[in-house]
Amino acid sequence: MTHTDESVLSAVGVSAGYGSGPRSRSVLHDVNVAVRRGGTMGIVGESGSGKSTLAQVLVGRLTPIRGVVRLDGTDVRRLSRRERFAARRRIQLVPQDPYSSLDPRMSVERTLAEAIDPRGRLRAGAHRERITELLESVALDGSAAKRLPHEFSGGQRQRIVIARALAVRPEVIIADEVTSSLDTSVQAEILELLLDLRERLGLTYVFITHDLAIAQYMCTDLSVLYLGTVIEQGTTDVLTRPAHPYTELLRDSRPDPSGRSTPAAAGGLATEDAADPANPPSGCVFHPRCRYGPRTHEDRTRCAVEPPILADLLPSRERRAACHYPIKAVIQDEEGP
Amino acid sequence: MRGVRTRLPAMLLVGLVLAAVIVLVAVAGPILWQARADALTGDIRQGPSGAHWLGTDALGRDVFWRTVVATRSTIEMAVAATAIAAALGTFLGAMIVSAGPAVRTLGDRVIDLLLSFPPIIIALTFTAILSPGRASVVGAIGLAFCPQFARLTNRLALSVQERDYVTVARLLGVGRFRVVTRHVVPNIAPPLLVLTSVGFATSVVTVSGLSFLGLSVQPPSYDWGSLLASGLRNLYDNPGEAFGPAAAILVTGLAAGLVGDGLVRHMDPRGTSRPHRAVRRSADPPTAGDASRAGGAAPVASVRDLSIRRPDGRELVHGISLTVDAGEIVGIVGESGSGKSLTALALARLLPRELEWSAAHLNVNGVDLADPAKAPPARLATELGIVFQDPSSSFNPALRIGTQLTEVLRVHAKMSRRQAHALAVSRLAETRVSSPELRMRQYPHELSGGMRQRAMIAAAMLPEPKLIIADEPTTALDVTVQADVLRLLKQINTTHGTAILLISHDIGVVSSLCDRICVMYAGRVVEELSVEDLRRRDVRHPYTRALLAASPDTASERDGARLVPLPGRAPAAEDQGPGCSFAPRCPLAVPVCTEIVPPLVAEPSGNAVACHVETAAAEVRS
Repeated sequence: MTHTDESVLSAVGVSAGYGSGPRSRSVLHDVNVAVRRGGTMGIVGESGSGKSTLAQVLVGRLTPIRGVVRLDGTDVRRLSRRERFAARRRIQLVPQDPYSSLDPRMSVERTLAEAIDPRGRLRAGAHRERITELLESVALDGSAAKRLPHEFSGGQRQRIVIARALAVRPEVIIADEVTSSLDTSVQAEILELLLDLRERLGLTYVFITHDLAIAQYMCTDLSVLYLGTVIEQGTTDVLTRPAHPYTELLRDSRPDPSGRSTPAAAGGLATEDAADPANPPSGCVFHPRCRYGPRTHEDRTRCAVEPPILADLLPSRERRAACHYPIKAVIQDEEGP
Repeated sequence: MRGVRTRLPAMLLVGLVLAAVIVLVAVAGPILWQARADALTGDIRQGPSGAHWLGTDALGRDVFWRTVVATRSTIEMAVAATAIAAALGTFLGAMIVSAGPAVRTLGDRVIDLLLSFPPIIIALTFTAILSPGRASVVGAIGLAFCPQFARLTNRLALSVQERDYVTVARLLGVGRFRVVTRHVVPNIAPPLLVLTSVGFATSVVTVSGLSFLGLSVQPPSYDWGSLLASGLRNLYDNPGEAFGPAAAILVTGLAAGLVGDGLVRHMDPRGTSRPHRAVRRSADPPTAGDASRAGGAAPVASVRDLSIRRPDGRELVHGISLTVDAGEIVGIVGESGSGKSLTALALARLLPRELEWSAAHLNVNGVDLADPAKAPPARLATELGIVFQDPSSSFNPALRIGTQLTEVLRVHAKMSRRQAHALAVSRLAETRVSSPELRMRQYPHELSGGMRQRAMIAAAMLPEPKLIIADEPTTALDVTVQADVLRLLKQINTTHGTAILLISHDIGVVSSLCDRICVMYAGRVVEELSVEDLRRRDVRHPYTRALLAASPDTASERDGARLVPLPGRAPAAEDQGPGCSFAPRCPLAVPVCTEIVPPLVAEPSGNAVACHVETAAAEVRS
């Protein structure tokens, strides 16, 4: 992991899942993600790829079965109780649904006061200035403080949720599909707000989304997840010039407003839905859907047997892909004369 | 009463007054009127009279005053029993929630078992085991009702604990105990309060019932139950003697119910400030329809001047007109609340019952549907197919896919079972559902989301309709599956010539599939344009322009350009002004925009736009 030194938050060899005993469900398999300070790490993938589970692991809600989560290079399990409390507050989560993430019975003021002072040590009025400041930072009027969540629209609620996350002066914000329940125009507002906050407060984001256009717009780095494994990783040109066939499929699946026909349409292999995460295919988990794999190239039997490892493609450009036959164009372009 | 800011609901007020009276009587009764109630007179078993309002009992004592004095005993016992049940039950429920999975399962089963017996049976059993008397009755009833509290607490706490706000509070470092007191308890309190009030009412009845059976207070003490028992023996001599305690029990139960319901309504955070009804109505219905396209193929669906209203008269869709020609793919794009789905549902005559609608003209493939009072003919089911957003709720989970697919064919096309089956299988294969024969035998939950949506499209295609209405068909799907479903719709359109009306919030989806696009905003079509113009970003209406500037799909193609958020928000149906609904957010707005609704004006190109500024500019150009 070349990034580890400068990365503020990283998952190293993380495997995680839910439940225990015979009914347990493994979701993530040996995932490595390093989040650069001041950057935005996008986690993209389809439903069932383990995006949200990874968020739970990074935020400390779910303990990995194997592997470690490092904060500033330190294994969080090694921290003392008090240090862990402080560490937790440095990483904040903005969940997807702005309706279920605010307590319907608590005014905005109380919600923010709780975030500022979770143990309730100061008297109630002590946070007024800070609350006004927080509301201003998310472009909400100070009069919002006394109101209850149901009096706000979805976009405004999401602003309140962001203000609450900012209340603890976090370094990392994990945004889990924050705009997927919002209208296009409101979505733009929230995305702009997040970009603005990143600049002003020097925040680091982990940005989880299923929408590639948003990922490309928001992120500096990307990890593409498929069935719980990272299959490609690099800067955002991962999406413009993918090396992994799955990333290419994702890119070509975007509704194409220019009306050009999409190359993936020709293969028709995309019609296979993602495999059941509980019962992943052998070898490369993507091979049954791959248009360059054994379905089209008979000599590539290796894909169905041997799981590829996430290997550096371009050491200079920080590009890794887990594929036995990565798409050549990427490498040739970079190494061309 | 004016000036009262937090209005209590009327029913709560009535309940509280009743409850206060009962409590007052319970406290004061034995102190003030004990003597009157116990005084023996010579008038035994008298009917109601001026001296004795409810008559007298076998020993000549006044029934009215005895009922009054008995209030304390009954209420005390009922309160104590309810308190025991609520405290013990809530505690047990909370313990079960916070315990490990094994204890939780065991606890659930035990509660299930206890709940399967009527509480009065449990109370009777306990009372019989302990010796009859006040204390044992209170304990028995408390125990008998506590499983109900345990179950409710358990269920509610589990659901609240899974809420995101509890998760976030934990991440913020809020301690376990504070999470419970600040987030969990306030959010589960209202249903528990209702149960407490219902439990109290039931306790009153049960306390009286056990006492009626002679298991509770022993003479010479008495309560409503024992009064009722002796009253029943003298029912023919003095009906008043039974009436008194019976009425007291009834009124107490009523008061408890009213207080419980009222409190819940009062405590609902949404209940305290309901949006007040606006007085003004939007004045003039706009006359659209100028834009209905002339010439071309006969439309498969057309609607003119469609208006949809809420029961309170507020208009949600304001006289819009729309045509879908044969073989055409028309998209309606708009944000939530723009009325796009309502318009589509109205075309299929599937609007929710409580909405009123009217249209000058509504026709689907020759079937006239414009009269809201006339039920649509059964034939409509074969004229159009519908694909909804959520593939998991559009099939009946209890029936096999095959049964649901063949139903339409057997009812409407009068096909034999075998014919219908064969056709359904071939349709599934055509919509690229893998192993169609197997799918026919499966239940909806056994299919993935993408497979279900494909099966839904197959179902919509079965009667060979001329039109498919697809309402956000890909919104719940992954991007790879979405791409496939869009290709599938396109393929159906080319091979069968089926016209499609696609509703979407995603301008990218619409522009990748449709021939012609209607942009809706706040219940009106603000722009109608060809897909070529949309792709060229050659749009006229400021809202369409803003929508394009705000969507990252297209913004990413302009190097380094930031998204431009749209200021403000779409107006709710109740606060729409008389003019253009977009005017308050519009950068081009001029005074006339806030006064007159701009009509949808057709341009020579076939496109149409509803904007005063644009129309004026177009006139200048020509």
